[in-house]
Amino acid sequence: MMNKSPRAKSFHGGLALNGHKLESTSGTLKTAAVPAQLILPLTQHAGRAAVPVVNAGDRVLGHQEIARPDGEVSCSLHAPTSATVLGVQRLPIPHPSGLMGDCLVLQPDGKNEFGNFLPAMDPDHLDLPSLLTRVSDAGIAGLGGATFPTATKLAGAAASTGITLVINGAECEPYITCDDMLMREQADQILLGAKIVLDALGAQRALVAIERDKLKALESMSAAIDRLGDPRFQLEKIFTIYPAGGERQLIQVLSGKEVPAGKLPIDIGYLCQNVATLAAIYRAVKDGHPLVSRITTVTGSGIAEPGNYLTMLGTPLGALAESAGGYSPKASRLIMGGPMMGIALPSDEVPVVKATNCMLVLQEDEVRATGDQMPCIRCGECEQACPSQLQPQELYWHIRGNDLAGADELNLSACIECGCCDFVCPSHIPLSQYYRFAKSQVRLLDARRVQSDIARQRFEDRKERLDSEAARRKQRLEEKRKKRASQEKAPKAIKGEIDAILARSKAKQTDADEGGETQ
Amino acid sequence: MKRFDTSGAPYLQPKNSVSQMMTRLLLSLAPAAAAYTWFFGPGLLLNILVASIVGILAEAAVLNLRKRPLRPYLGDGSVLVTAVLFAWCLPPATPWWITATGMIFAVVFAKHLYGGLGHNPFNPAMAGYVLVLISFPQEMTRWLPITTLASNGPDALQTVWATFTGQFGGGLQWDAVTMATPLDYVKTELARLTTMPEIKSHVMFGDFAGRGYEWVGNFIALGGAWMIYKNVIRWHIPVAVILGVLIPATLAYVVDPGSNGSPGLHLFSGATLLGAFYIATDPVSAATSPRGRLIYGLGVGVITFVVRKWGGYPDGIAFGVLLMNAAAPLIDHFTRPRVYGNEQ
Repeated sequence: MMNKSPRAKSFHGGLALNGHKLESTSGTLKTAAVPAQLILPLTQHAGRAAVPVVNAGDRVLGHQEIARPDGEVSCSLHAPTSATVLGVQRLPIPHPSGLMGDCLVLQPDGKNEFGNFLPAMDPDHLDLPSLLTRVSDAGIAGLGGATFPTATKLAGAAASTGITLVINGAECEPYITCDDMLMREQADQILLGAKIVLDALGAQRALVAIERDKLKALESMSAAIDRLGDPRFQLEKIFTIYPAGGERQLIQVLSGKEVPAGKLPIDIGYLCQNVATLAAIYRAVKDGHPLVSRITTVTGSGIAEPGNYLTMLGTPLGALAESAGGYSPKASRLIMGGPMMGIALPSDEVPVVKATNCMLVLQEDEVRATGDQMPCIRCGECEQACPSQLQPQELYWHIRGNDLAGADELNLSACIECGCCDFVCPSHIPLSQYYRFAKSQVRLLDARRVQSDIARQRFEDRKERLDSEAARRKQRLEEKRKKRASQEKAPKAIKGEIDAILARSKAKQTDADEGGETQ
Repeated sequence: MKRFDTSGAPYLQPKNSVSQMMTRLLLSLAPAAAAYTWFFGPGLLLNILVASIVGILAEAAVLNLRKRPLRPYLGDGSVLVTAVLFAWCLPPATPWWITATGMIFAVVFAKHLYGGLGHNPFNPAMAGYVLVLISFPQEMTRWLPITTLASNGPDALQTVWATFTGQFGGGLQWDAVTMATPLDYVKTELARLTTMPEIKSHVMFGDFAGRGYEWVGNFIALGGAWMIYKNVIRWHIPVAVILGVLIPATLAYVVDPGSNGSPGLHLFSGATLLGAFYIATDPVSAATSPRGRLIYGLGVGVITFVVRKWGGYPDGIAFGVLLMNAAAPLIDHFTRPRVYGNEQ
């Protein structure tokens, strides 16, 4: 099934980076210790926060649902092990500013008791609605890092025909190896999960995309494809170039097609799923297991025993580091995710969430310095590296000049924030940060524009209402006056009346005068 | 609980820096500088010395006035690159005040009055060069011949003396030792209706162009190739400049070989190669997109040819570069690549 030569790289730019993958792949998959407390943020997926369904003091079993999704784009949460609920607390969540968020805090009781909350289903006879319900009930979100609720993504593909499923095993960021490890150790689960999705969607084709230097993963997945014997599956070896694992870049490598601006891959018939997501779907269907743990790569020179650890969601990163032999003396940077797109965290209290594919700990001298920025010399290296073929240096000028409209016109929104431009910039300008800032500003302005549009509409409506009321009132008054005028007597008659009154009062006067004289 | 410092992604240390690019550029010029000195004496090195000292002083003074930190901006090496390229354009043993005038103009006016590194619309070295070319026309044509041809030429000490006083001393007069450059000679002789074959029979010519200049050109091209290999520059501008000179030169030569210099003469004479690899490639003042750089380079090359053939000056790289500098923003505007997922 394996095609011999790798797919040509067909997207613009990108970087050949030092992988640093061996550190964490020399051993086998290990299991992280159960921590004293599990911290489960209610928002660990793209979309609305989940709503807790347990109360402080409750005892919960492993796999029990502890928070329900809120609305279409949301995700439920489950207890990773049997525990006592300590309640909802505001604690630091994975965010560079040390942002706090609502978290369910559980205290594991050490008994590791699990309940059967979701019945096992037959993977071979599963229609799409049942699959969607199960995926939603199991709290599965995209485990590649974006954590978009998987049920919502699959539902979005329901109306499409001729879908190609892309099984994303291209783990292009340096240091991260959790997907590599999963493909080595649980290849069958990935493919069976993919098969469930293929069958439910009636899709014809599944492309397993793996970089050509992941030899063990290629071998293991190739063998698993042979075992499965499903002709719809095809292994695609691709070049090792960052960011080939990005959804849009991977589709471009595999098909030569671009996803049009403002559209989703499914609009051109492609559905991407990360290998870990597919394995999670398989376990949810076959065993009725919700998503309560994931493989996290714990690596970097700041970690004593780098490796891949099967970790319960909610495990604080500090506890995970202890499972990996603790920190080395010079550990000074903590990054959740990879060194190109990850989030630097201020403390290791932050827990492992569904998006935590990697815990990277580096030494100070390995991390780029800040504050040594030089002026842009327009060398164009960023332009050469940009996978979206943007003109990063022009975007930078516009953003520096606070010209967000200009940046928007140059397709700022096509930036995938991969950091390639940053890495190659000889002036060490933090370009990605400029773009992230500008994008958030554009979003803010858009939101404000929507609000001000609503406000203007409201004002105009009110003015119109007041005007029409005033016009009506005026009309009514006019009618009233006309009516009164027609009812009233003619001016001559009035004059006659006045004359009569005058005459009468004169007569009275005369009478009085005469009377006075008589006194 | 352990606390950590934070910063924005990406976190990997960059492999490249402005000072590294500038250092590599200067290094790549060393073989050509050695060849130049071998053939024409130490005049170039003296020019470079004067230009560098004046350039650094001028840069420091302006940075001070602009209240900018000295260390990063002097350390980036950009002023040294300007100094070396400017000095390279001058005849060897140019009197120091001419070098200083051009260099001060380049650094103060062409670079810092526009905002300093990264903000100058015109190539500072070329702006400085054109200033002295127009202001000191006589001194700018006093080229020394290749040392092997000039038994009566100045020795090293006399060259130093000339650089700092304007005279060789020892009774040696400028008129006695200077010689036209090949391009200059071709231009004058063609105007006198001498044919190219006759012109090329002059002892100053080698295989394609001036003796000595050819070898310097070879080393410049080698240095340029190394810069492309090391990603200091990209290939687009050098290739386009060379094509911009060679295409019209070849056409003219094919049509009338008697009154047009050969493509080889154009390629190896004057500043064609230096301009293609080192001057037109100044990223700050050039176009940025790959297509834009091709158009920009072609423009530089064609203007150079036009000046050489019909203009009042023997060489035209400086004019080509400055004129195309002015056009670069427009070129960039019209050559933006199609963005992923968008229509053109």
